[in-house]
Amino acid sequence: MIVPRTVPAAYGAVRECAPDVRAPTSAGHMQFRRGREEAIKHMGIERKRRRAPLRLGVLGVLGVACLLVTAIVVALALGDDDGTAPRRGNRIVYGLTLNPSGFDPHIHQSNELGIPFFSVYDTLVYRHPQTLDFVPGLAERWEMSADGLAWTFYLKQNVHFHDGTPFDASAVATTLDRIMNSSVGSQKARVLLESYTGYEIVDPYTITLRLSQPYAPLLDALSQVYLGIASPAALAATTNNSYQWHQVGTGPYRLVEFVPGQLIRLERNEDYAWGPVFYAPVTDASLETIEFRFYTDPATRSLALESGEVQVVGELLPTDAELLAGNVEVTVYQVPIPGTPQQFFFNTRRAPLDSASIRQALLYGTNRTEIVDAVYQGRSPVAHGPLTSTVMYYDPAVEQMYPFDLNQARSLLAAQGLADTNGDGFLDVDGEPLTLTVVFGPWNQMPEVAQLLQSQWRDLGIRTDLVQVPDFPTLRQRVRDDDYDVIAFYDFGVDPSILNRFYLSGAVNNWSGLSDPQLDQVLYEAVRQSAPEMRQALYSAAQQRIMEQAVVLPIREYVNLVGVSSRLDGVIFSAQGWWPLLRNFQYTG
Amino acid sequence: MLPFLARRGAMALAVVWLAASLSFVALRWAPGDALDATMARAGASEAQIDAQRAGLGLDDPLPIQYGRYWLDVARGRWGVSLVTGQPVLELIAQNARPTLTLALAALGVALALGVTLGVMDGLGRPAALRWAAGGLAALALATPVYWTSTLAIYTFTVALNLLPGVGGSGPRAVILPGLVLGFHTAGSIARVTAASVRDAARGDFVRTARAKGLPEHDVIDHILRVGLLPVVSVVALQAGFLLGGTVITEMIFVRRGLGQVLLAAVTNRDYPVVQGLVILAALVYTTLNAGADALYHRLDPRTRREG
Repeated sequence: MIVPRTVPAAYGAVRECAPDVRAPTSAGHMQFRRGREEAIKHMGIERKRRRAPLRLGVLGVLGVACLLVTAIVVALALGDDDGTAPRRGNRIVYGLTLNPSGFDPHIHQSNELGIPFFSVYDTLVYRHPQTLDFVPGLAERWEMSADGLAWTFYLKQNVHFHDGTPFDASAVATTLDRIMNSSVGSQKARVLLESYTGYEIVDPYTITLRLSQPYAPLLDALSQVYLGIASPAALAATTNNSYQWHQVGTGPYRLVEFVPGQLIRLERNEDYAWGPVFYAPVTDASLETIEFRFYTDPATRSLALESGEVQVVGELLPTDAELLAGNVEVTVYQVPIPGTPQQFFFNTRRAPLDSASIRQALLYGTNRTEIVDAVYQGRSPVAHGPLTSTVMYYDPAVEQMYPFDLNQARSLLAAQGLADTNGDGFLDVDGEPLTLTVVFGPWNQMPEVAQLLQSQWRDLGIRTDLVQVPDFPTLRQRVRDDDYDVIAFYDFGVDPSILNRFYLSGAVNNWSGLSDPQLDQVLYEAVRQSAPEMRQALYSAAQQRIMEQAVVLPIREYVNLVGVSSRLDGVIFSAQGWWPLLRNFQYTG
Repeated sequence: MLPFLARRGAMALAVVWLAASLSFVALRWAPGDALDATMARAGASEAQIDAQRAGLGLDDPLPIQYGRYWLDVARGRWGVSLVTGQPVLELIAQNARPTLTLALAALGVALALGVTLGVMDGLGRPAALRWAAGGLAALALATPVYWTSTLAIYTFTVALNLLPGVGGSGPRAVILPGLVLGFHTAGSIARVTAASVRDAARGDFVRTARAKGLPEHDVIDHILRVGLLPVVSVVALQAGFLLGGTVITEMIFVRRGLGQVLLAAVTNRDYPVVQGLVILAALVYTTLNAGADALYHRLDPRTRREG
């Protein structure tokens, strides 16, 4: 500690600079002092020596306090160390970008939770990451009844959970019961199941799921980690809350350690022999241990990669990805995430965007390529429609609908009778400049995008008020208050039925306020029909209809920039984009 | 001493109640609620969300929710997180240790550095030493933690590769964040120390001490004994602020802890978690201040007779 040592140094300074009466250094003075002390002694007066105790009184207390604090810190920090577990070969550290919002796939809704847990669970079916077709998971085959209201799954045999519990139809039933139990509070899994009403166990390896109405996206729901099948024994041994720290599935990796907020450790499941076709066989280079750690601050992710603290981390900043491009130790993967693009909705419920022509003018007048190049360093495809090109039944026809065309935009606005009446450079409505309130959150570089919109729309003569809200609840409150003209919101999913919650009349995330009976009918029909050709036709119609109405401004297709150590091969992600197939990763470290 | 303690206890309770009530109201005035952050985001229907909201009692009138909250707290029920379903106390217990470690490390650094700089600034000679110390203290105060943090990570982790920068655990991982946060806190301690020591040095007793020929060490001891007293209160005050300072530091250094929990809870409108943390912070703060006052009482004989 520095205090006891440095403060006397300060005395030293005082002493040197004031060598007169105060300084006890000169020989004469010492003599004088000795003489004085002798005189005092002589007089029988014992001078109380207060120097030592005093010094301990003030500086000692401080010194002791500092020592004590240091000791406690070291003791606490030692207890905090988790580096004690034996390190087996092929071990990597995988950086997660989101922390404490919950990791129980049945309950919680983040995409991030699937990064570790997609490999802990198996689902009844899988989507093939390349073809997007459904392939067997825990179910070796399945069939739909003629009326579309019953789906029967024939389950694989000789499958067991990490805790030894055998897998059968009752395990599927237990997971479904848990998700549908309202006291569990499922945020996403229950929503994915939509019209599911119950099940029937036909025999130990056959289960039938019942629906209240035909629901084509059922298989898509069942292929997501949120519907991973959990060990009934593990569920029984834990509470709804504590299960997330002790998850047990049948997947290629088992959860061996979970230090909340700090570490998730997976180890390879050596018994795993029932994986989907796209899982690679185990080799010497396959991963044995994966440690997940948290890197919630985007700026620290590339630092962690460069210093070798992590071998994989997602959601790099586009600018950091650009800097890492020159680093031979790191490869940056651009992983497309299917779903809606990163987009803005136009509020059709209030002026001025209740006018379809003005909305179309904005679509023509926005230079999306410039935005993607400037903000995302060109590392994402420009988006054109309500779905990304990686979603099933994407219709490329939307790409021709609104090319960047300033003249077209200006003439559409002029046709609405909008003109700059007072010469301030902005179009006027009743003497007031035409102003749009643009609302967005702080995530995914939306603020930068909004600033470019502002400058591009200024060229059209439209003024914008940019409103950045801090979080999602505030964004949603804006919608409830109907206090926006343009608002940013998007979500992910491989099945185009994701359109329903954004565009059906009255749907919870229908933030454009669109109410179009014709579109509603198409969207409803598309989830009832299971024939691919029918769905293709219906979703083409839906995508074109949405863009004709010009209720959404797509910006870019979402791309996850994943930084990976160059010593990792076989890096591949699930059809949903977010979740790594850890089974296929090969480490040559 | 006893009436003193009783008075302080009552004041502490009032502070805790006020802090909890203010945060209760402020949080519910903030737009949206936890279900917006979870279910609505996942695309649940309005009916599903409303049912869940009613089940949680979030649609009851505010006074009823407020009354129910205190009843629950009185019965020792701190509630569960609306987002993760985890009991609040468990969440706090899981994350308290790293935050405490960081706060104490920072406090140690702040105390050592702050007092040293303060005394040098107040009494140091030549003047250059005073300027240097004062300048350093001002720099510590003026530089934001997020900036010094990034600079420290860049220097010690990326460039020199000496210390773990982000996401580590164990004793080595606390060094950088502790130094950064401690450096910032040392600024205010140094300023108070310098002013108070300078004041004390002008006291009559100092002139008397010099006049009667006391050696300079003894004079300095006299000055420090008086001049360092306010450090006790300012340290207690800073210890309270440190809990807040850990929020930013934890985020940048990717340390788990209460700061990260608080940030996520506010973002998700996770009422019970925020409430629990506010009460905890208020308790720590009032306890530290009461402790500092009591210590002051003992250290400074001049305050004893009045109290």
